[in-house]
Formats: sequence, structure tokens, C-alpha cells
Amino acid sequence: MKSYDLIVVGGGPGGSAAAKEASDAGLKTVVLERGHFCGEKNSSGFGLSPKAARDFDYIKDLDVPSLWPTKFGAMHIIKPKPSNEDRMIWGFTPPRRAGYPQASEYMVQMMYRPDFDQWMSRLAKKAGAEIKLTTLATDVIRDGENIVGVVDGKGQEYRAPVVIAADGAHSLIARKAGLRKRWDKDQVTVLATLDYKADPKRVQEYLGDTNVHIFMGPDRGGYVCAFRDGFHIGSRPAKTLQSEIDAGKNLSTRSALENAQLDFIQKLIRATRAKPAEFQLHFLPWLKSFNERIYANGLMLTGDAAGVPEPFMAEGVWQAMYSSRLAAQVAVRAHKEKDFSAGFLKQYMDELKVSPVGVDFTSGPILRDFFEQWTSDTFYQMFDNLADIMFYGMLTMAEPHAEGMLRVPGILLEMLPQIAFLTRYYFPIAEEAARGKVTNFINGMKTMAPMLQGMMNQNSGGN
Amino acid sequence: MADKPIDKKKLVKVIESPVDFISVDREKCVGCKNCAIICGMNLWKIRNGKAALDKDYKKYCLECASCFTVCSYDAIEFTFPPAGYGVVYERG
Repeated sequence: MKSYDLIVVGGGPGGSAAAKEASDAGLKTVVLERGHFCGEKNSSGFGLSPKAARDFDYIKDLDVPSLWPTKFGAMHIIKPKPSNEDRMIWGFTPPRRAGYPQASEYMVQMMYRPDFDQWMSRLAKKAGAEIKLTTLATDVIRDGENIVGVVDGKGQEYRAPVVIAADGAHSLIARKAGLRKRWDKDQVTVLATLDYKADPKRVQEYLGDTNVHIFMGPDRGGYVCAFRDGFHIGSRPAKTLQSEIDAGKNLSTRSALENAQLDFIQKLIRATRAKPAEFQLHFLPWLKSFNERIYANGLMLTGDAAGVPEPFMAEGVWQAMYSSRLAAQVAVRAHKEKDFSAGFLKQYMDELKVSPVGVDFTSGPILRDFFEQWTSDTFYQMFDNLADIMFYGMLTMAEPHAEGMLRVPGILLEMLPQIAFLTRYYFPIAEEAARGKVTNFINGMKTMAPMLQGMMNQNSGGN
Repeated sequence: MADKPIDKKKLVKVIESPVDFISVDREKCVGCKNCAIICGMNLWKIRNGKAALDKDYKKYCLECASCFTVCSYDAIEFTFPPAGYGVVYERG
């Protein structure tokens, strides 16, 4: 039997963030990781959002081989099936109005998970945490109603008055602690990814600074994320397992394989001499509302184990780091107060719920529904019309310019169903977020409308 | 410009577990096919009206636990392969 102040189950970014925080605060901490290395069981690659640099000072020192900050992204609108051609390409760039510097510098920082997870694990180790690899925690140890440790698959016992379970979507610890049996079919999704290994120089030359490509179209979607010496081809935006059962087929796997045939991707494969290297399935929680069942006597769940990926795009790594660090801070307080009861650890849940992680669940159900609509025909029609406004209207080179300009209102009228569709999602989301401010905003716009109209008349009137 | 089809099974690295980590309770299984629909590696079949795992599943299972999650009859049990076994994502 081994004794610690804190046991962290799982050596992903969450587990390591918790272990670093606790070790820095002087807790004797062990991390139990089932893989041969941290990140061995994690797929789908990822982009670390700028929130991580904002909230974790050490992220500024991040330096791993696959690291590639995304300065530009492209969104390809794909023609209806069976075509594999782009209808158009739109660009993304970090916003000028961002609330903090990193958010204006890059959209995300692309990395392979083994790179990032091992980098995080080294930080935890440097802070003093003990990292035990190839160690699968299979059960909790109880003393009466309290969880006082875990046992691994070989029967080795690890004891501590508090355990942080950062052991992923299918958390064995959450199950053994009785916090849940399984996620509901409507609470989880699977992302399928195909990794290609490629010549890093050619990847850089071909993609330039645009290392993220997103694909959308009627009933199709997906992405390419490049990580220096290779890239991932990902499946369509998340739908739940329930939707796949309803459809009677595995949509995510089909979608990843279909996406490999897209014209843009085939050209990328050829240009970079890429070869398929790995097929991956990434199972993750995708909840509509904040999950409160994340603590028990002597136990806190964090990261995917707690169901923290946000309800829109299902981003989860920053959420895992944030929730895990918070859990570690509560564990430090619990040691000071010598109180490891569920009543005391509830403050972790309470604080997480009002933190940016919890606040992201505002409007969760409608956000998730909205995201699923991005691969609908209505979105395709909207982008199709927007393109015509630009290039059949304002910037036409096919007709006299003034005649092109005249066509714009007609196209806008044709877009009314799509605008109505957008407002159906936008107003409920904004109203819930602003709690009444939107109504004020609209009233403000109404008041200003005659004034704006006057200004427009002046400007457009000419001499 | 279609490419040759991709063989998923050639693109996975799995250290074969010496023990079973998925099991099906044939009493509870009603043959609803949910597991066969959801498995991204096509490791489930329905045989004689009941779910049956591919005999080579330990070589190909990516441990996503979708089968366990979609089983409405609590007929599928899923844990993980013992530490040191199972899927290895080198480029995850």
C-alpha cells in the first residue's frame, strides 16, 4: 500500500494540470496513467484555444515539435453530394476585437496529443508529482462512505484522502463511485479521424499559414488540421450516438472516409506525398447542460470524466485543464480544513458551475442544436446566396458594375428564409445570455433607425 | 480523382489484450443491432438474433465504448484492456 495526499487518475492535460497545481502547493501527489506514455489513448488531435494561454501562465513556454499556431483557417463549402468539389472557400482570421492579446495572435494552437500530453506531464513531474505509467486504476477503495484511494489492475493499493478522477469519457472511477453507470446515447458523440503522415516541408509550403480547413455542405462536414509532419482528416461536426442509431448507420466513420475523397484533400495528399498512418475514434461527452454529479466523499471528477466539453463545438482540453486545476485547489483547501466530505468538495462543483467552463453551458440545448444545423441545406443556400451577393452583385466582372449592384436587394430578399432561420437560433441564445439586454438592444436600434436612414440618404445622395 | 479505398484495420496499432474486456450477456441481448450500427471498426455482428463480437476484436477494438453506451438492455459490459495493452495512438 502506498499513501499520498492526492491521487490523480489519468495523465491527460487535466490530470497533469491538477497534479502540477497540487504539487506546487505542497501535496504529495501521484498520477496513474494507463498508457505507456501520456496521450497514448487520446485521439483526434486538437487545437488548444487561446483561453489556455490566458488562464495558465506556463502555456507561454509551450514548445513541442507539432506545435503550429493557426493564423488563418479556411471554410470550404462543398457542393451537394456526390460532388467532391468546393462551391466556395471562406477565410477565418483571429479577431481584432479579442479580449486579450493571445486571442488576436492565433485562433488555436494545433498539436498532436502525445506531444502536448507528455509536455504537460513533464511539468507535473517537475513540480514534484510522481507519474506512474502503465497503471490502470480499476476501482475505488472505500472506508465506510468515504473514498480513500484506488486500486490498480494488479491489485496494488494507492491511498489518499482525496482522489481526482481525470480518467476520460468512459471513467471507470465515476462508475465505481456510483456517480453514473453510463452516459445517455444523446449525451455523447464519436469523432472519427484519419491521420496522414507527410513531408513537413511540403505541408508548410502547400498550406502556408492556413493549417485548418473546415468542410461544410448539405449532409456533409469535416476538417483537416495540420501538425507539421502530418494532418488529420476528421469526420463531420458532432452528432450524438442517438442520431447515428436513428440513422441506422455509423455516420462519423463513413464521413471521415468520405472526406478523404474531397478534391481539396486529395490535392493535399498528393502535394505533400502523404500516406495514411492511423485511424482513430474519439468518444467524448457532449452535454446540453452542466453536469452537477461530479463529486462524492473523497472524490472529484474533472475533464471528460465530468462531462465538461462545451455544448457547441465540444472543445474539451482547456475545460479539462481548468476543471482539474480547480479541483486541485479545492483538494488543497480540503487538506487545510481536514475535511474531505462531499459537503466540502461540493464547492468544486459550485465554483466550476459559475466559472467560464460552466457559463459556456448557457443556452446549451439550443447551441448544440444550432451546431448540428451547420451541415444542413439551409446553411448551404445561405452561403450560396452570400457568394452571389458578392460576385453576381457587388464585385461582378461578368456584367456592367451598376447592373450588378442593382441585383443585390433581390438576392437579399431570396435570403429571407435563411435569415429567419438564423434568428430562430440567434435570439433565444442571445436573450438567455444577456437576460433582457437583447430586447434593449433591439429597442435601441429601433430608436436609431430613422437617424441612420437620414445619414444613409445623405451619403448615398451624392451631389 | 478517387483514391483506393482505405483499410481501417491496417491503420490501427493495438497490443492485443491477453484477456477479454468486452462481454455480452446473451440473456439480456434482444438483437436490436445498436452495437453493430455504432462500432466504427465493424466488430459486432448479429448471429441467431443475438449480438456477437468478432473473434479478433482484441486486435482491432479502439476502446471507444460506444457499444456499451448504446446498449439499451444493459447486455454489454466494457472495461479496458489491462494496463500496457490495447490501442496505441502515436499520432492522436
